[in-house]
Amino acid sequence: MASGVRRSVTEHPFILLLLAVTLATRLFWAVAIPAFQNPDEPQHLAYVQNLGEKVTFSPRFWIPREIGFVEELTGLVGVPFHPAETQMFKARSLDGPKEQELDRLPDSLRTTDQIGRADSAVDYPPTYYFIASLVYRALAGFDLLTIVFGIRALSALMSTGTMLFNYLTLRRFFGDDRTAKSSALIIGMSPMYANMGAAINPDVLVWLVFSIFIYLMTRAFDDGLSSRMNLGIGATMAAGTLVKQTFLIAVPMYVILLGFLWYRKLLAPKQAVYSLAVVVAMLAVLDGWLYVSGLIGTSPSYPGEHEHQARTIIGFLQHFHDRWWNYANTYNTAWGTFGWLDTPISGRIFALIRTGSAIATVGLLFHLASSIVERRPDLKAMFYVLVSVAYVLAWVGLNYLRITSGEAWLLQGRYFFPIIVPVVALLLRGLLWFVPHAGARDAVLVALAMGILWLQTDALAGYVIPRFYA
Amino acid sequence: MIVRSGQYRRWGVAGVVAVFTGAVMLAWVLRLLNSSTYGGVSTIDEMISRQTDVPAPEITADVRVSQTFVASDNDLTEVQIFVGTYARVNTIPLVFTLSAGDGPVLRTIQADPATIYDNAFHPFIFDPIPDSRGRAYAVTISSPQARPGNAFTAWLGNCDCYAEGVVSIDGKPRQDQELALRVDYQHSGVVVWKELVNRMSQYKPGILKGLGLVLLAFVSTVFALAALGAVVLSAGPAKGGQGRPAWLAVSVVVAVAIVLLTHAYSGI
Repeated sequence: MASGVRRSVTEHPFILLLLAVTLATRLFWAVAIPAFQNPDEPQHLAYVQNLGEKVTFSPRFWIPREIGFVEELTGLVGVPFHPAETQMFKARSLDGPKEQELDRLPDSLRTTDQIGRADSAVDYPPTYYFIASLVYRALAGFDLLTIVFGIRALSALMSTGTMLFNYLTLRRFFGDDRTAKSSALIIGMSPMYANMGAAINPDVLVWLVFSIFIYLMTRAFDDGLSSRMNLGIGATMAAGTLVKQTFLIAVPMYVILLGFLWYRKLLAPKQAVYSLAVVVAMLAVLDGWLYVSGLIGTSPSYPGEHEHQARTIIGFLQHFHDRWWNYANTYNTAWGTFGWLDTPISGRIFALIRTGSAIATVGLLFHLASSIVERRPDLKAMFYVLVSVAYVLAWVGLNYLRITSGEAWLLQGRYFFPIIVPVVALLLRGLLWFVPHAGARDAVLVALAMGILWLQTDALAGYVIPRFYA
Repeated sequence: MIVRSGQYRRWGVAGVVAVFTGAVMLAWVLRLLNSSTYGGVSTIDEMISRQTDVPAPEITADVRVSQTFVASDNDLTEVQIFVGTYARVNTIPLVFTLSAGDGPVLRTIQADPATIYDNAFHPFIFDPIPDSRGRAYAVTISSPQARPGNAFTAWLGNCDCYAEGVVSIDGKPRQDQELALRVDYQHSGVVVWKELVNRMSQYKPGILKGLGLVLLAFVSTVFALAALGAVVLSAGPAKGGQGRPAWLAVSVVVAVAIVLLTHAYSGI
């Protein structure tokens, strides 16, 4: 795999351009959003800081005092909760009003707990935090805000790797470079994907590992599942589960791959069972003991005001029936809610994206149906559909389990980002079904690429920057 | 190496699309910078107190909450008070007055109760006071028609964290408390984009301040437009072909740009 990726990078200038634009835009987003303003950023930073100060298997439960101090000094503490509030500014100056005080904060604040302010992120596996803590250690001589933006730069770098695998996957899915380039640009410049790709958050590493997983699955779909490939997929899943527990969603997706390979006679039933057993064994050996031993817990809970409810199939169906519009809206928010405040893009743009997605879905259904009628079923598209449905259903199920446990609504639009490649690829496939002429297809692809650049500009200049700075 | 005219044409088309898109994006940003969206850039905040420990008594007909402060700049134009609604819908307006120390009332504002959020700074905006620097002022909030159960409150900090002022409830000073309050000054002659760069640079690492920030924005825009150009280059027929699809692409691009520009100058 490594040589294939290396060859692709050196042979295709577009890849270098895509990596450059991904890194540059994410670095800009990293700077555009003030410190601590991405979802749960203080908690994730606290975990990094605690590990950066002392490597331990049981990181401290409380957020360090330094984070609270800096939030207070900068005036950023109330920003997430009050739509009209910004940090404190100084007129005609590049330095904030209390910037010099930040340099003089005693080091002891870094290892002192802010009792009463728990760090919910300690329930996550430590992989991302450990990697980020290396950046923390490298920048430990600087003030906390410099460290924040250093770790955000690491996230931007991880996102750049993600976009490489996203593009390679898209090239395999579409089989033509021009559609792959357009779709890669659409994904890479999607505003919220760019925003969260520069946040201090383990999701950034989850997306990187997931993009490798989807790429390997797509390769296996094309070339068959060799033992080496199976080990690669298993190792990717094991690595992903060490970053975040929800990576286990990859297991049913992998089973779907086995099903397709069996259907296409690329894998005998015995081989399929053996391959699955190998992957499960890898997960058990590499991840299971960490969970069983308690070194890694389950995901943090988010207390709500609901009561415990009985869990039944009928109850789940009723829940989905009652809340399907909430799910649809949650999916929509993946296109444009930013930071902790969910600063939105305009309703018109949401409506346009919603309508476009609906049209593309209809086109996809026509595409799949016509491919079956013509006896040339587009199995890869069907594979992506099933993989996406399995992913979404897993989240809906998890959301249901949380709600019936009395917790608050869990699902957020950004949780769909691990499958952004299959989803956007399918939507494009559907949209292009309405455009049979090759030239017109090119025009649509160029227009979509232009549209996403404009959307990113509008999101930044129209919503994000005025929210935090005006 | 033989370069065919078709290739020049494709590069030309890619360049035109990229430049045109860049121009549309720039026009959009300039339009936004000149709109009320960025009105706040012309004011500068000063936090008097951010601490919110306890609510003041419910601001009913016979309760008045006041705080004195000294303006640190000219053109005082806004006072923000951290208010609470008791997590309910209140229907009686909140009345804000700004007085010159113990002197006359300078500004009075009645806040629509529907615009007041729970546990948030509520802005009271008024015409700037030109020579405010160094002068003492008193802000008072009251609600003459309010009754218990249909009234707001304001939050106090249990600290003497603002030496130049004092909070008082119904005229009785409380030395160990402050009203959670911030004030804003209008800055005339502010070039919005320059002040925006200043603001975005604050509390950022040195390398990302000022020019570093502008360069980063420029580089990411150039890369994005170059990637768009690469997408256009890969469109159309095989190398040396007729080029008709590329011109189709241009026509779509122009149509999209016209729609966007029309949208931009007709208001959002």
